Amino acid sequence: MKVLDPAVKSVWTIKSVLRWCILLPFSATADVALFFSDNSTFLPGLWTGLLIITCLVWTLIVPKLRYKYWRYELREEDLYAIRGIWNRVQTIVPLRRVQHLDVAQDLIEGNYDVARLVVHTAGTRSTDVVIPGLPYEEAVHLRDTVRDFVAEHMD
Amino acid sequence: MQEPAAEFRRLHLLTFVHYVFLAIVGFVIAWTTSPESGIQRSSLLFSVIYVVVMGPISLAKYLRFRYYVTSEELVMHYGVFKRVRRNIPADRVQNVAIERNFLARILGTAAVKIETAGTAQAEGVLSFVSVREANRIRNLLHTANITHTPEENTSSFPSFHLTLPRLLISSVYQFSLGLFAVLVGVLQQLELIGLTDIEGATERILEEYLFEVTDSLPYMVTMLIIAVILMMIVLSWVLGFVQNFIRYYNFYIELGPEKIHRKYGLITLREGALPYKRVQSFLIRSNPLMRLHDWYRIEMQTLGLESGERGFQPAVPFAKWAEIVALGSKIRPFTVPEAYTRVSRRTIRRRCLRYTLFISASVAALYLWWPYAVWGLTLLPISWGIAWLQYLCHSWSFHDGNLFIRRRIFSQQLWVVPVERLQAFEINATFFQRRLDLCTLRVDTAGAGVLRHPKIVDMRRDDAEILFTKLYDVFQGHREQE
Repeated sequence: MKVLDPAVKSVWTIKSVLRWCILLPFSATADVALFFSDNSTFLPGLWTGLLIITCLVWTLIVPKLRYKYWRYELREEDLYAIRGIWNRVQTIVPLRRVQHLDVAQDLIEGNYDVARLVVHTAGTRSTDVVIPGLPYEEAVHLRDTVRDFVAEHMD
Repeated sequence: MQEPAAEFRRLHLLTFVHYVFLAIVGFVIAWTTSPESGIQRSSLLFSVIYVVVMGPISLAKYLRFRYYVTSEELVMHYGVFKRVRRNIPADRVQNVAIERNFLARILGTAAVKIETAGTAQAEGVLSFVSVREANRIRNLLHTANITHTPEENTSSFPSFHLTLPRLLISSVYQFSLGLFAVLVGVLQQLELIGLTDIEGATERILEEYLFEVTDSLPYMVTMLIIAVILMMIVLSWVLGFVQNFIRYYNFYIELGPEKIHRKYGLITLREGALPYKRVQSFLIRSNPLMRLHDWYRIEMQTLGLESGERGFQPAVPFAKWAEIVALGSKIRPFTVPEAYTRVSRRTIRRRCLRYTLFISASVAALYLWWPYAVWGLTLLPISWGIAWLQYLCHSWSFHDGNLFIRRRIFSQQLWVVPVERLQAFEINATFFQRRLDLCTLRVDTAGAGVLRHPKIVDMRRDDAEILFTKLYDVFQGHREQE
């Protein structure tokens, strides 16, 4: 089974920090409000501090673990993936069930030259099987292989 | 006028009556739910703005919406700010459903919904056309119709008609807690504006019929709780009865040579044809009381569904087990397995742990404010009993190319999932499950719901791997047979 491109760890780290930063205005507002209220026993900057600590711990641990548990393999007739830290998920997508394929890349991923392969099936719940952190050429190669398989086995 | 434009048609003029009706309802709700006069004035202001802004927009919408139907295609041009020209070729149309709700039936209009294979929603909706026009569209788009009424059952195709006595029996089994909640909400709104007096009325009823007012507080509280529960049960039963009766009134299904035809409803009349290949899996439902009298309901999980049906469409709303199996297996062949395999006994342990944690945490949190919350701990033994029952009610069987899964204690489900319809295979194991060597096996069918989907929770890891491989092999082997 194959592992992801290690560069994806950096991508996830950046995204994790950005995601936690969304909460920053809220915690800052709460802190300012607490600072100006009279009978407050809380330390100034408590919420922002907590947020920053959580963000740091999360960002240091989660991307590494997620990378550690991600495995995928394109086999003859299916795409096989194992992933998950808390909830370990093992998925098989039969290639003849593939409806369409995307290779997606956002700005951060583009900077590290990694891409996501998104495999759509007609199912609803696990419709989009996303393999993140592939080197761009690898993602394109996977997409073309799956596409050729689908084209060949059309009825 | 130009040549092609002559073919274009507009929606029924009564579209406006509908808009006006909706606007009035919205206005009345806004007016009555705001208790302060200041808010009422502002809601009036909003209503005026609404009318000034939305009026011209709805007019423009109406004028921009044009369509024409030929035997080859349906063409729709619409949109005020974003103009859309949509062509739906007739050979891609899977289903043309005609729906008539209460208002539409008063006004003599109908909604035509055109579904294609591509998406989960209706792709073309003509919300207001006359009934004659609706039928013309359907005939043009080549979807066969039920040519006779259920009463003169002359066809040789397998069919099922829900007769009035059976509809009444089936309604008896229905509860609707959701509707009850809605009713309570509405009554509270009415009380706010002083139209009803629930508290007074409840007090009067309780005093007159149930018990006498005494000084003993525990006695009063107990009686009050009992009375509230009784009232809840009775009311949700009545509402469930009415809802079921209205929805499945005169239900008729016929398995034609190419499509399944259905027609049902008292206030909103639904009618449509469904191709067999759209049916993905079956869900046979029941509850302990219905099971006792051998009553079941079978639903089809379909692709390209209406959102209101949540992906599940009734095939037979209420029938004996033998009838269900007979008709269901004609839609997609299946034979009922003789034996089911239970999941691992360790599921009881995991569920008990989960419920214990959840209840203890809630009780501990509540205790800080309200010491009586300690009594919540009495829920613990009950939850353990439920965990045990859940174990007893959860089993599976892989038989004849179909995966059968039984779940739930009260609203019992039996899934019948044909392996060749599967889209993806998945084994999940959470942290706790891995400690107990358990896992959850999920399968995905096209158009399955996010919440309601077939899964086997807490199988032994080895068993799951074996079943997983077996399912997958049969699935892939199926292709070689074709």
